[in-house]
Amino acid sequence: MELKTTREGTNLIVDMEGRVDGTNAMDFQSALEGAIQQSDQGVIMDMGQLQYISSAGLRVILLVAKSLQKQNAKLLGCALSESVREIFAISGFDKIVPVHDSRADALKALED
Amino acid sequence: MSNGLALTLENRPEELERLTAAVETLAEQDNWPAALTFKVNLVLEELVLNVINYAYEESGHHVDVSLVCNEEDLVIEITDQGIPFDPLHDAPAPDMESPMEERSIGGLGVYLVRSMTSDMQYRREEGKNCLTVAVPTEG
Amino acid sequence: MSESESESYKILVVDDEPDVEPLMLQRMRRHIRSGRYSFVFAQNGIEALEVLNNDAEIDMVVSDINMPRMDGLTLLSQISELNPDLRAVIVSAYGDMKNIRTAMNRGAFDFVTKPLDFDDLQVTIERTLENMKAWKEALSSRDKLVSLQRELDVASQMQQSILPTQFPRGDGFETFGSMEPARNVGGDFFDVVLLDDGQIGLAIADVSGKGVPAALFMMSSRTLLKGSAIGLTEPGKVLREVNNLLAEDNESAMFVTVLYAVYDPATGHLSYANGGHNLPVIFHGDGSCIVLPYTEGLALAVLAGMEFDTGEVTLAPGDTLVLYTDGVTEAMDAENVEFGMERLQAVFASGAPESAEAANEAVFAAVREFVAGAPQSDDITCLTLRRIGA
Repeated sequence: MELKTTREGTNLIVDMEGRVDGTNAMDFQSALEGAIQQSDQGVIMDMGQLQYISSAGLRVILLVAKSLQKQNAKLLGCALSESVREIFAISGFDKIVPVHDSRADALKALED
Repeated sequence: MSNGLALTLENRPEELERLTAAVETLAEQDNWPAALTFKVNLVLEELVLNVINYAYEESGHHVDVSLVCNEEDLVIEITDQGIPFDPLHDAPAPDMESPMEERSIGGLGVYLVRSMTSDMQYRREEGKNCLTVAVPTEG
Repeated sequence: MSESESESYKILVVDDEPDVEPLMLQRMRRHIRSGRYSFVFAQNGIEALEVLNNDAEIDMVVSDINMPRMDGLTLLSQISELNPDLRAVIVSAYGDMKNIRTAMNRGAFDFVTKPLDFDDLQVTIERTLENMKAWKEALSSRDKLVSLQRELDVASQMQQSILPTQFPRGDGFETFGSMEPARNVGGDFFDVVLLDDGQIGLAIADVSGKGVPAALFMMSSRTLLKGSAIGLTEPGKVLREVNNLLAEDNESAMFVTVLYAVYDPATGHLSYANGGHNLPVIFHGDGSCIVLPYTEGLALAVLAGMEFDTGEVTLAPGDTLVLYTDGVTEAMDAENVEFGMERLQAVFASGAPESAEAANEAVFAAVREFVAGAPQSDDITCLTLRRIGA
């Protein structure tokens, strides 16, 4: 699993690549939490290169969603592969993390 | 499809990597659609990690995993010699506070596995836990 | 519940009407003579607080709402600060939903309406005492190391203490609910609430996790649900509010699936919202059935701010609504085959049930026959509502 983060104004964009599973979900959590700043208004997880995620990874996303909610920031997802999208739908995570087709759409949603 | 795999894992979470690699190799050989590979990996991870975390109190034990490919489904069997433990019903609820390696698949993991399998059966026999699940190859 | 238990309880009754004291002593005389209850009286909130400050042995409070000097709602907030173990039951005018709702939100355990029905009050007192006992044990077992079995016993008492023991019935409708607890893990509960304008609120829920933390979580879910149900009419809004309240300080990541429905006996209209729970089934008079259409909604307490859709259907005379938990559909026989939706839908294939209670029993009987003695791994819960007629 690799995370690359970029910043656009008060928004953080996280590129997720590879696999998030029970063996590396802790690393995913600390990397993600480490990248988020108190001043962030929105966080976009770009999952275009995410091959795989299990419940361990979803739990980290939930934890991050909760803490972002406390700082009144939004968490969005974009560019999900078909399989990841299915996992999001089955688990109800698409309600926790609004999902957009592209990064541009997600950024636009944050502006609104 | 007529292949399959049989693997004995130690009860350490890192063993998951070996299992995933074996599944990926098989998937490549048999030209599985990406969605199927994803599902099989997910079902195996949720169940195997659960057994690794809960069926034994100490390390140095084993978990047997087998996978048989049929026309309509892939049948996965997970066997261990730990305490009587049915991952479908005995898994503690997810606990965000505990360290990751102690977290169970809890409600969410079982839920995902249930959604992706057509048949789940747990048996306790001859001092072993034996769990069989079927992942449909279509849809 | 049982009168044979030798415990005795001290109850503080707060009401400004002078005839309450003699009436209470008269109507509860059997329980006073047996030593189970003793009563202390106060005329308003200020007096009540004085009594509570001077007498640590009071177990519960039964309080009116409208009183001079300090009203019942103010008293409630003071009580929870004074002693969180104290249980309070509020007495209110029928239809005074706003005050009842405020009372529930301030930690009242239950309410009874005026004019006082003393049998009803006594049932409510018993339930409340039962709950208080379970709560105290739960707290004390949380603080010290107890055996797993002990912890599960405490949790199970807590669960039993919040289940209703009486089921509303009326012109053209009846309700019935029951639960078969699993030996170790389980977190089901249900509730039936009388709402404004004669409407009925029905809730069924399944809490994740086990043991005392889950039981305490169940307790707050039940209270918040009851409070929200009383104040709001649209089921989706009820779940939205309960979710926000539960998610607020839920660090433990527990969650609860809830199906909440509001039934209008006058029209047969049923509105419902679903937070990740199993969808109820309506059985028609001819034995056929439909599963209620899916409505959007995630399990409660996961994250604040979630929306819940409200669905609507109408029950025809002779229809029976069956709410259940996954303990029904996932009950397994000796071969580990699950009971499943299809078998549930076939329960009344040979004929509609005669009553809500019969419908309930038929579901349990079908599950029991199917599992044929195989060990039960989860609570089995079923709540039924029947529209009588034709």
